[in-house]
Amino acid sequence: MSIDILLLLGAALFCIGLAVVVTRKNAIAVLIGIELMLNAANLNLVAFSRFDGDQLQGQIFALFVITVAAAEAAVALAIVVKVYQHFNTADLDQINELKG
Amino acid sequence: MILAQSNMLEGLKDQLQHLTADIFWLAPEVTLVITLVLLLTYDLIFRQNKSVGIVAIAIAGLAFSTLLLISNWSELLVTNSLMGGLLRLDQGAVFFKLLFVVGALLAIVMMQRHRKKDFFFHSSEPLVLVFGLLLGVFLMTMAANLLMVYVSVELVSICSYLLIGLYKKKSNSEAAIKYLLFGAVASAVMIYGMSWLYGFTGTLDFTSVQFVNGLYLVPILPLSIALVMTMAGFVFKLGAFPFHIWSPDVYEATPTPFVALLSALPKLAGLTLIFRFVQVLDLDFANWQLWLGIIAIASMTIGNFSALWQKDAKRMLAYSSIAQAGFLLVGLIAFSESGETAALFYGVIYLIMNFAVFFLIQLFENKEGRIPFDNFRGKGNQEPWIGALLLIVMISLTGLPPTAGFNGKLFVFSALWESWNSNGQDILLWVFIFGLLNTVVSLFYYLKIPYFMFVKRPVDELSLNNKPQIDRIWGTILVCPLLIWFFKSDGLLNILNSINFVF
Repeated sequence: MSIDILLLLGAALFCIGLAVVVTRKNAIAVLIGIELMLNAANLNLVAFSRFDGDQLQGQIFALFVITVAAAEAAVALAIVVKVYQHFNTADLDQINELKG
Repeated sequence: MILAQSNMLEGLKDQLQHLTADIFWLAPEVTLVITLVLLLTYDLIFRQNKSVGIVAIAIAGLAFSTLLLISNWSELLVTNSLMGGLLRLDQGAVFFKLLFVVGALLAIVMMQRHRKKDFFFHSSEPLVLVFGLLLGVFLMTMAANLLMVYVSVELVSICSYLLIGLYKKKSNSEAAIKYLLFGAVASAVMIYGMSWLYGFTGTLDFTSVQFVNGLYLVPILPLSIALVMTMAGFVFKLGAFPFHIWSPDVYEATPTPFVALLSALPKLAGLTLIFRFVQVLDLDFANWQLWLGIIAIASMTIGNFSALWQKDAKRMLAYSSIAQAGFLLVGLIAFSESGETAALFYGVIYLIMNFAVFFLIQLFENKEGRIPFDNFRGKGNQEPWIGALLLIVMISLTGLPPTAGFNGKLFVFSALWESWNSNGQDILLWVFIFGLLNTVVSLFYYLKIPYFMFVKRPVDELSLNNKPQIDRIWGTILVCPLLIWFFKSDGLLNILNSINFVF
């Protein structure tokens, strides 16, 4: 497969993820958008790794990104649960006690 | 075939031997990890009265890693490449690590003197997270590989999210979710930029020749996009202009010792990352002076003007820390030897000032953990010593004599002036002008707290912490360096001058 297709797919995924982050109001939807952005980066890394014959640094990097993203998602969901307990909603527009 | 295999095995054996030798240099980090594990197990074994043991383990761990860092400092002669090029250890990194350890120690002191001391020591969770954060900033100062940069930035970030969300209050969970979503987006943008840099160069080691040479072959537009995206993550850690929106909410809601920690360590670590990245990629096509200059001007201006209207001391200091991030960048923008030293000096002063001011305003916290300005009303007459200390720290934050904050600003801006004289880039002059104007603006809000303390009449009796004598002593210890380094800063400057901070 040509590398152009992979890179275009990565760029598209990144843009979709960013659009989701910017437009959606639900905290969980925003987290899904972030996940899309991270996977766009993963796709790029794995695609470029093809030119890095001996070391495959890109693929290793992608593995690390997946692991760290899982840890981050765990923390994020725990905090969302706490937010829900306090505010009874995960809508980011209604979570606005701190202002100034 | 067999010969090739045995050759490969020999190579592997060699590499493994290198790795075990490198552990010696990483002993401070290993100590931190061991302390972290000890804290966790201690928490599991003992049921009651844990606070004494937890503090003892933490202090012992920090003290031991300080000793190891000092021995590293004396034995380190040249820059060391560790762990197969993932990390680079130089004297600058060791110096910053020592600073970070001091910061963590001061944070533990602040926790001890906090009104709700039990919260910090009833289980080992808060200190475990503090040690995780400390490990993260240690690795950030040494990172020489994009993978290491990403992992250490995320380690710091995840520990910070948890530290903010640990306190079981409504506003804490709100601050944590805002910080988390913001941080996660920033790091996703950073990693996408990094993936392109990897694609352009075929290596993740940004100190290597291959990396820099690879970048020369790339057209300017895609390269700029990738570099700007990568920088986004660093700027987020620094808390400077486009990525500063989270800080006021986080500062207002989080317990003060954590705020002091979060506003000092990750900021300085982010500064070192930007520093190294920019130094290594000091190329014709990337006009760092322009980009960083714009970030610095915007951070200083937005931070200072927003701080003017705040009613809560912690929120005001959040905007002030955005402005300080701009001042920290000014030294880098000069791109000269004296600029580096000035930035380092300002970093040291910033850490001390920051912990001093948070320690002192923590004494005026009300039961909800907020510090509105009304809490300071008329307190200067009740507690003249604390009031005087607070006045000195505020003068130092503004950057006026007779405090070390003045020296810091003086060095930074004179380095900038020299650099402008030698290369005549317009942006440097603009940074200079805006920096000076902003110093004047900052006078108005920094002096608000002493004004409330000494001029306004008291309305209600807010009792201070018990045993104020200890607070006075700690406050004095924290403020002393600010006065001493004003009159005699050459000792510190000599040390800083001896540090070669470029890879």
